[in-house]
Amino acid sequence: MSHAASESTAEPVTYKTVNDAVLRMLEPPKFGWYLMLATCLLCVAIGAVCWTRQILLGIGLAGKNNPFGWAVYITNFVFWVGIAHSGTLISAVLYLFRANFRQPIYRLAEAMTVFAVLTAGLFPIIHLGRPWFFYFLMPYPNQRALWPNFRSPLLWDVFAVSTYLTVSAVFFFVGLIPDIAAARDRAKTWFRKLLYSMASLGWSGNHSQWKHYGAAYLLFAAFATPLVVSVHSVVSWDFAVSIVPGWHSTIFPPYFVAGAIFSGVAMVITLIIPLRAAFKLHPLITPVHFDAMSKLILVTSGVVTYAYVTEFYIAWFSNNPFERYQFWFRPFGEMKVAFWVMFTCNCIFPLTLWIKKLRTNIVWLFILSIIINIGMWFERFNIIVQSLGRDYLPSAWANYSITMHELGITLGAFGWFGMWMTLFIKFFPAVAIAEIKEVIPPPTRHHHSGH
Amino acid sequence: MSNEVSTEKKGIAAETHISRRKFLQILGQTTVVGAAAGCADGAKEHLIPFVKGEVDQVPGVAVWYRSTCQECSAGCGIQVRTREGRAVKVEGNRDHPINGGGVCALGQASLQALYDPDRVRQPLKVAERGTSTTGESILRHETMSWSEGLQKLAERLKDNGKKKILITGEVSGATAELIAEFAKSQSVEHIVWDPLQPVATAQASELVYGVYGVPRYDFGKAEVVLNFGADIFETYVSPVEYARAWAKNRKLGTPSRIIHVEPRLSLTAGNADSWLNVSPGSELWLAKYLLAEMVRRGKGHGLRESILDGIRSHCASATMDRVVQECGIAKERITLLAQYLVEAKSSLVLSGGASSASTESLALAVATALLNLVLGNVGDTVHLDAMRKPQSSLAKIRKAVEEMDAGKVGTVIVWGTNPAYSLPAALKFHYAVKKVGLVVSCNSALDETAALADIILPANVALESWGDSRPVAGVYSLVQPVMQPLYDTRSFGDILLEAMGGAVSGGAKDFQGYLQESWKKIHQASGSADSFERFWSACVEHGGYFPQLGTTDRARVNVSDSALGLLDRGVHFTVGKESGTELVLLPFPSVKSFDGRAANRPWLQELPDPIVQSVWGGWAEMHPDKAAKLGIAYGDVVQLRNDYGELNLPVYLSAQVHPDVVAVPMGYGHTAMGRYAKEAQAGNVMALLSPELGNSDAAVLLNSTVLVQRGRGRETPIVQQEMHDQHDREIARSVRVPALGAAALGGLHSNGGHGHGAHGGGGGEGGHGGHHEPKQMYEQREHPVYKWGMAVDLAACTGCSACVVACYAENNIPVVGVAQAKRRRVMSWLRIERYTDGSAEELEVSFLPMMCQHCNNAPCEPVCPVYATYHNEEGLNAMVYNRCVGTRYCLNNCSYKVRRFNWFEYDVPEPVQWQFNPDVVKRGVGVMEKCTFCLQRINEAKDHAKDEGRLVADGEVQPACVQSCPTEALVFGNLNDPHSRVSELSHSPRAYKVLDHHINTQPSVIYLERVRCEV
Repeated sequence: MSHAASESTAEPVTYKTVNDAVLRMLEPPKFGWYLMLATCLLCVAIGAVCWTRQILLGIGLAGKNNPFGWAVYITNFVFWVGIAHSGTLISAVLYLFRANFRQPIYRLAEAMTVFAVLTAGLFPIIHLGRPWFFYFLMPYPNQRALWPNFRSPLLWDVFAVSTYLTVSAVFFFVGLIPDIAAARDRAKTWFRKLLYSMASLGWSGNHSQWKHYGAAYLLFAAFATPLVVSVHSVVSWDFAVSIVPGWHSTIFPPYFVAGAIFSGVAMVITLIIPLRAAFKLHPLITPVHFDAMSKLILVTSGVVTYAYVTEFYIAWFSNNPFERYQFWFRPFGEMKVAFWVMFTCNCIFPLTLWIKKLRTNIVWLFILSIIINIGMWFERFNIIVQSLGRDYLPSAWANYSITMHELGITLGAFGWFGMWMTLFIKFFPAVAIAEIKEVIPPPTRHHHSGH
Repeated sequence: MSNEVSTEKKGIAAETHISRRKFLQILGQTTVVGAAAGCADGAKEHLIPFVKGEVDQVPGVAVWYRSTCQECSAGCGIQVRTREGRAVKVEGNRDHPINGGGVCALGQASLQALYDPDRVRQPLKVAERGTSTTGESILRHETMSWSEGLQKLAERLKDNGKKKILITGEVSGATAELIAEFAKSQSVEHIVWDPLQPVATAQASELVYGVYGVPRYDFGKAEVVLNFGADIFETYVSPVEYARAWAKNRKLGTPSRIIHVEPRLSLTAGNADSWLNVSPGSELWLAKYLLAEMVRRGKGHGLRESILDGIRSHCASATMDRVVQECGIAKERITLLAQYLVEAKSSLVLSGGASSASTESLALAVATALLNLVLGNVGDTVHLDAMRKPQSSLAKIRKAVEEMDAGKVGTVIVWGTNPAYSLPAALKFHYAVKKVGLVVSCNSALDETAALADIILPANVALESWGDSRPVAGVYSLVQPVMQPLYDTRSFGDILLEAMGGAVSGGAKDFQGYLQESWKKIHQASGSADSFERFWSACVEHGGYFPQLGTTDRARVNVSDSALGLLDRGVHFTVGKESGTELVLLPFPSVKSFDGRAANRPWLQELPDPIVQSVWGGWAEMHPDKAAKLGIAYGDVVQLRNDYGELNLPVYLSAQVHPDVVAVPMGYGHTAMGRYAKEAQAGNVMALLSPELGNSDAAVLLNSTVLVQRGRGRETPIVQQEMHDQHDREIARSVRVPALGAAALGGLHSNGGHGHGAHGGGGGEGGHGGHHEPKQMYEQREHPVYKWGMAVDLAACTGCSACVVACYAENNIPVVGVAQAKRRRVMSWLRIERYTDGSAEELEVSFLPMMCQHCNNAPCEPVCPVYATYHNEEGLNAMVYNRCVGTRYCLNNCSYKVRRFNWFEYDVPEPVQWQFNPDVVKRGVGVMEKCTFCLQRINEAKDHAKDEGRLVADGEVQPACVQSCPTEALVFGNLNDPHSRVSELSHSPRAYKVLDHHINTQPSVIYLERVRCEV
């Protein structure tokens, strides 16, 4: 049961192999890593140029217009918040449920969470007409009689996203402490020594520290768990609370949460497969883990598909002419391609995971995870853009076209996220050493199976 | 309403009455000083005319001047609001007999002729003209002094060796008198060119009634109006006046039924109760059939037998079968139409517009005049007492061009018209004019004609000039300068006076004096006991002198046989040598483009055409079936080609255009005139017209066919509304007047936008009134004193879009230009939605002004995270621009999509910013904006009321849109006051609120259902 990591490898996994495998990742980078970082930085630079131009000249450089108050930037926001989702799910919820398959992947998932929230958090500011006044949304005492409107879902967003960022960052950091200490013990350069020494907060690994650590981790896991549900529910209220046909729907919170887990797990797979290959983590991340994640995808894909079908059913059943038209328009209107991309990617392709062989086929999983992320991006695009394009008055109906600046900033977001991930894997243990050690036999003179 | 008039008058009286004379004196002095200063070289720019602040000007207080709109020849009275000596807004003069308070879009935009950044700012002469090695034409001007320019002109005028020609637009009053004197003393031929003048109708009146001129029509009295293509709500003769008359009875529920005959859905056709989409040029057949039928049915029994015999014989060929075949409409509709004309107590027949402007336009006009005669309308709905006498003549200008080409012309002076653009290109005006010794342009813009001129002596625009307009008998309407000239320009009258050396009757030194001399005659004729000075200042204050005229029709019916003989002719089209799919070319003017005279005014360029909803540039309108046959789809560029020229235009597919027609708007494709005119591309349709003359002096527009092919490239017209189907959403609703002779609206049934569906639940159902409020779950908002609201009577809305331009002018709304308009970022706070429901046979067109609805339950308010938008205690949905960070959530959640976002900071070239209303803040980039119900006007009225210790009276506040509406379709006021007009209208059985019964937004804008007559 607890030998998940050792079952499929010929060599038994030991504390040493774990230490070696994980900490090897922190060794001085090779060419490939630099190439990766350079690519990400280039994308960031493109995004930065686009954003700078947009701040200087006006948000009109994006394709938004009347009636499209929101489009690609908010799509990106929801997409990245969604990606951020599964990190906490894997680390906190699965921890509470004692699902051990999480152990080799949760650190990466948590890192992904923090960096995805960092990325997502940029977009509400990027999309503002006057981004230099973003702080008007903060409730702080001031003498200009400015106080935010607590009825607005956008304000809820501010709290939801900042809370999520704070909690997931703290949770992430707490989980890192023992592993940073392990890295500290092996650090060769003065810089790393200093960095790890400070970051490990004097961790020595004694019993009382472990005891407190365990309690703190459990506490944060319990604290973070409701956020898994709340953050994306709040994000979904940005839409559900409005009266736009196609947005105004009570199904949105669970639908968004399921979609977020769906896309988040897919993103974990997208990230972990190349990492596993590059750093030869095969002993630690085994087909068993992929199988488990595939099942999670299969379940959430089902939930998402159910939500899609429900939306159509409700649109028909409600006899609301505006809803009905909107849900006729999505699959058959001028922007139908976006709908069918979404539907195929999110509902059809994941069905292949019913086949066990494909669940553990690394190549297919990698492709599928990218397909799902494309599909989920389009899901948000459809919800936002198609709904706005066909709301109440036919006179205002229009179709949307994306501009180069939007593409540039979207690319920049991927670069930004990739940059943090690339830096992270070289500076911190990307796989949780301590937690893997919990589930493998402790180093004794004689190997025997643990309990 | 009356209350506001009196306040306004008082305002003028209190601030200006004493100083009025002084104002005139000073203005006279400054003109002299200006003239003297003009002798010295150097550009002079007066933006603030009253430097010493002596006259009228109190900083922060508006001063109004009454004048007359000079944009077309209708002669509407205007009043211009000035602030600190500069004009900021044009409004209608409520006391004026022509327009009674409204002004059209073009009139509103006359401010932009004043503040045109491309105006000619001082006299110019050509420094270099030619063609560069790369084939581009070069034209460079250099400045000169007025004395030099006038001397050049005067010298030329002394030379009687060659012919001298003066080409102007329509003129009347003192200007016409001065021109006549000028023409006589200098032996100059005066030619008037205005392609939109209803000359055929005027000539037909002469042939049939014995009086030249366009009759005065009584739309209110006529039960049935049969209209052959006259665009009475767009450009025809006097659109504001006609719309006003049309709407009056319609609002009362006793509408005249309008049956419109035209091969394209124009704005006028869209407002008709029945629209007959006939084959192009076939109207004459229908008119002849109706003539014969009326005579058969015993109409016209008072007429001489010889006339009736003549009608019988000349219309004999128009049998029902023939008419059905020629016109392509169902027999039943023709029978019904004849029935209506026979049964109507009173009827009226009109013809005109582009679709009637064939080479046989006179025949149709004669048939129309005869129909009126036979139906007994003359003296009833067609009056010959106050006739308009258009002077434009295609024949004369064509002859002049031929003489120029033959080298017989030494001097050409052009003012107020642009023949190089608005004549058929095949006449080769631009070629002929090169053979003229001296070409002088006095146009204020550097238009196509000015570009051909040797010297440019720029005249003032109308808002800087003295003058008058006498469009019909009994209307003496004054034009007065509302501010000093912006640039070193002079009034056209002064230019003429200088050029002829001041030798005029009465011995006036300048045109202002000449005008007064001319008005002394009016003063004498008036029999007024007052001195001339008092009479004059009263006229200046009121905008003119409008004696009441008794109806004295004096028809001398004498229908000559030659007139009847015209009816035998059929309309033909000039067919080119090449074969292929030939469609009849229908060039048409519109409320925004007219004939292209106002093309450099960005408000008009950015105003959506009320039918096609396109901005910035022209298009080719075709029937989708025809286009499909030719392999043309939306998004294609079509090539229109004939022997005269070629045009490449984006195609617009509309089932509301006759399949044999390709319709192209006039007024686009300028090659000069200014930056905005050139930005609005797609070519000048005049390039495709044959130079043929018609049988009248009117411009010939419908005379050519074109080969239509798919051209190169892809482009669409810049359309702001693509979907015209209401999707059963009951946005624009209507009631039906069942049959001819039905009584008032009380017993009418209402039937939604579609004509068949029942209303949804909730308030605002027709027949029950908009006051039936559904039960609310939450506590409702309180509005202790005022609750501002607006009623929009769709029965009176023609879609003329004057309100849209008024809103631009009042609220400093930025113009975004072609690139941004393509992205649908036009900033207009008010739009005219056009919905088209029903079948092709029974088309139901609706125009719906849509502005911020100031909802009680506004969806935009709760979603704003920073309280930039909120509901105030007067029921307004207010915007705090400084607070807005630009999340645009309000825009998303606005069910009416009336919020506009500042995507960029928009370009305002000098001197456009001088037009900005100082009472309205200019919004910066990244901020949301929308209709405020003209909050600045509400506040002004509240200030006044507070000073006088009372509440704001009903009608005291008029937002810009309400003020401009020619038909008073918009009414604004306090909904808390049960006796206000808006409250009363909100309880009308026709009242409803858009979308309210679906989403309970509780708008403060109440719509009144459109009134449709079943025909």
